[in-house]
Amino acid sequence: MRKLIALYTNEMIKISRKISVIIILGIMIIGVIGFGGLMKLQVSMNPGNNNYLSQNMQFQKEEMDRQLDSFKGRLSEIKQQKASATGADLMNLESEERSIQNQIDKLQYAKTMDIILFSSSYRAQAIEMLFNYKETVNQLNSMPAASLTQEQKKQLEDAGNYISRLEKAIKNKDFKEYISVSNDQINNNTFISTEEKKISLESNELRLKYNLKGEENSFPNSMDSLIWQIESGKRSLLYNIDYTSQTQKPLSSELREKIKNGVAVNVYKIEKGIIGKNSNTGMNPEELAMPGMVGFGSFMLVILVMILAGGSISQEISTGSIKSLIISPTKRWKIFIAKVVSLLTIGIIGALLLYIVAILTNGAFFGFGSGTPYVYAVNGVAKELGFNIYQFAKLFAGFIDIMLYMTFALMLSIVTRNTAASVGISIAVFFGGSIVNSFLPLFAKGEWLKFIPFNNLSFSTRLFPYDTLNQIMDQGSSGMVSVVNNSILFSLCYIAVLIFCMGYTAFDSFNRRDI
Amino acid sequence: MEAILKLFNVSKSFGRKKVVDNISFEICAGEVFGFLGPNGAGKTTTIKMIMGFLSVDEGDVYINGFNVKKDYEKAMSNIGGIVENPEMYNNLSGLTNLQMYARLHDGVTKQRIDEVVTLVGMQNRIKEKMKKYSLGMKQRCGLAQAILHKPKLLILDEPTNGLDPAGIRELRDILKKLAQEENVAVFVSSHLLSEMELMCSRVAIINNGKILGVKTVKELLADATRAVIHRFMAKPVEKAVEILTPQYGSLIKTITDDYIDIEAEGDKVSEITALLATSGIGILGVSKIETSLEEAFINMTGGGNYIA
Repeated sequence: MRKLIALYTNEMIKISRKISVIIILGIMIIGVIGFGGLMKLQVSMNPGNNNYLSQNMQFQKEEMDRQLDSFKGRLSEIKQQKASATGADLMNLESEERSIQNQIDKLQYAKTMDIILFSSSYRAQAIEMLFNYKETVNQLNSMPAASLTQEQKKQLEDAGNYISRLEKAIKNKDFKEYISVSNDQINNNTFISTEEKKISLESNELRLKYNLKGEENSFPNSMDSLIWQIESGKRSLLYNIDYTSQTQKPLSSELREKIKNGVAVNVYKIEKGIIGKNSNTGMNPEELAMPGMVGFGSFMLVILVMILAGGSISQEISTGSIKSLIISPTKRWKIFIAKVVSLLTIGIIGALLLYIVAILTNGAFFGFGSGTPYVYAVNGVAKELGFNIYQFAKLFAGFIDIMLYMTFALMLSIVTRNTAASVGISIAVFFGGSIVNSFLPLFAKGEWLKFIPFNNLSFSTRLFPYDTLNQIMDQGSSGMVSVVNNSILFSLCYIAVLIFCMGYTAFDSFNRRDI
Repeated sequence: MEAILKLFNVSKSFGRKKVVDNISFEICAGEVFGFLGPNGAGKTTTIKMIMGFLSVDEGDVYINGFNVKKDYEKAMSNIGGIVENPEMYNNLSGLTNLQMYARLHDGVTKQRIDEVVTLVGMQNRIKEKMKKYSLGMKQRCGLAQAILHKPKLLILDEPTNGLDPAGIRELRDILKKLAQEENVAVFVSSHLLSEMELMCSRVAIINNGKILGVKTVKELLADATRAVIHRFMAKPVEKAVEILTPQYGSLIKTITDDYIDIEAEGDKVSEITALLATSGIGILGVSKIETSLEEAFINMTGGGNYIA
C-alpha cells in the first residue's frame, strides 16, 4: 500500500509539471470567463427585451390603427353600397355593417383603455369577449323581438350580464371579476365534459391564486404557455392519449408517469414563481451563460484527460523513462493502478476547478442569487434542487462520459505504445463518433443501435430531464435528437461493462508485455 | 562467497529465433564482472531479463537468493542499474528525479541522496532541470539513481557511453570502490575492451546467445596468447633484419620502417639485443607486446563481420 501511495505521488508530480496540463487548464478557465463575459455583453446590449418589447408594442399599436382605418374604409364602402342594394343583399350588407361597426368599436374602445388587443393580457382577452357578446346582442336585437325563442331570450339576457361584468372588470382592472366571468363561461359551456371543465377551472384557480395576469410587459408570456402545458398534460392523463406532443399516441405507463411528473413540475414552478425570464424559448443570454460555460469547460476537460491518458504509458516508453519505473521493485499492476488513479485525480480536480470558476463567473456577472433551481418530480410530487447543487450534479454526471474516453485513450496508449496515435484516435472518436451516430439512424435500424456507446452517454442530460435548456443545448451540440431510448440503468451498466473491458485489456497488456 | 546473481539455464526467444540459449553463470559479491560479446549476441536481452523488462522463457534468475519470478519485489529491491542511456523525467530536476526514485525504495534517507550526489560529483547542478544536462551529467545522475538504495547488484549496460576520458576514469574508480569497499557485485556489459580489462576481475563472453566461457581476465589473456612478442626498435632496420635472419628468421613476425616484432622472451631477448648491439645497429627501444583482450576476444568470438 505504501508503494502505491509512493507511485501515486510520483505520478501526480509528473502530471503537475507538464506544461500541456497547465496550458489546457488555463485555456479552460479563460474560455469559461470569456463565455460568461460574452453573455453579459449580450444582455447589456439589449437592455431587456424591453427595447424589443417597446418596439413591438409600438408596432402593434400601429397595426391596430391600420386595422381601424381599413375597417372604416370598408364601412363607408358598405354605406355607399347600401344606397343601391335591396332585399337579401341589403340584409347581408346590414349584417356586415353591424359586425364591422363592432370591430371598429372594439378597436376604439381598446385605444381609449390603452390596451393592445393582440397581447395576452387579461384585459385584452376581456375586450375580445366583451365585443363578442356585443355582437351577439346586436344580432339578436336586429331580429323582431317576437320571433325570439326562449333560448335566444336567455342568450340575450346572459350576454347582457356578461357585458356589464366585463366592462366593470376592464374599467376597474379587476382580475378577479374577469376570472369569475371566465369560470361562469366554463360552467355554462354545454359542449365540454365535467372533467374538462374541472381542468379549465383549475387553471383559472392557478391564474387567480398567483396573479398571472399576462400583462403587456412579459413577452412572450411564459406563464400562459406553462398553463397550456399543464392543461394538455392533464387532458392527456384524462383521455389516456398523449396531447403534449404532436404524436397523439396512447399513453404507456411510462409516458403516463412522465406526464404526471411534468404537470407536477409545472404547477410547482408557478407556485414558487420559478420561471426563467424566457424559459420556453430558452435562448436568453443570461440563461445560456452557465450551461455554455460548463459545456465549453467540459469539452476542454475531455481533451485534457484524453491527452494525458493517451500519453501516459506510451510517452514513458518512447522517452525511455519507463526504465526507472520497471527497475524499481514494484509489481507492474501497482504502476498501472497508480497511473489510473492519478488520471482520475486530475479529472476530478479539473472538474472542481471548472465548477468553481463557472459559479464565480456567473455570480460576478449576473448576481450570486440569480440562478433558477432545478425542479423535478417523483411519483407526481414535485421537488426542488438548488441552483449550485444542480450545476454540480450536472457537471459530475458528465464525468461518466469523461471516464469512458479516458479508459479508451489509456488502453490505446498501452496497446499501441504510440502517443500520437492514441490521442489522435481518441479525439477522432470523440468528435466523429457522435456526428456519425446522429446520422446512423437514417440508414440503419435494429436492436443493435442500442449498443452503440454514444447512445448510452450524455448522462448530464438524461439524469435531469426537466431542464428544457439542457435538451436544447444537447441537441444543438450533437445536431439531432437521439432516436434510441435506453433506460438510465441499462446505459450505466453498459458503460460500466465497456470501461471494465477496456481497462482490463489495458491492464493485462501492460502487465505481460515485454518492454 | 554467496552468489548475488545466478542465472540457471535461462533462455529467451523472440518469435522463432532463440536469442538467449540456455545460459548459466554466477556473480559473487564484491567482484566486477564483465559481459562481452559482439553485436546481436544477446547481451542486452540477458540484462533486460535480469532487470525485469522481459519475461524469462525458460530457466531461472536468482538475485540474492530470490527468484525473480516468484519473489519479484524482494529480488528487484537488490538491483540497481542503467540500461543503455539513463532516461529520467526531463522537465524535472535531477534532485526531484532522485527523490521520486527514493520514494519507491525502503530506507533511502535525505542524507543518502546527498551522499550519492556528492559521490558522482553533481552537487552543484543537481537542482537544475534534466533537460539542461549534458550527456555526461545525465550518466552521472543515472549512476546516482542506480546506487541510491545501496543495491547488492549493480548492472550497467554500456556505462561509459558519452563520458569524457576523465569521466571514464572516475566511473572506473567509483565502480572499483563500490566493489571493494561496499562489497557490491558489479555487472558491466561493454564494448570498450580496454576498459573492461582495467576494471573486471572475471569476464563472460557470449555469442549467438550462448556463453562461450567465464574466466578471469588473466586466464583469458593467457589462453589467447600463443607466444610472447617483443618489439625491437632498431636503426637501420634493413641491416638489423639481415643480421637477425640467419638465426632468428623464423621468429620474425613483423617488419616495418621503424621496428621488428620477434617472437621471443626471457633470455632470448637479451641475446638478440646483444647481437644487434655488437653488430653496430642502433637500438632505440625494446618492449614487450602484450596480447590484448581485443585479440583474445576476436579470436574467441570468431571475429566475423556479420551480425548473428
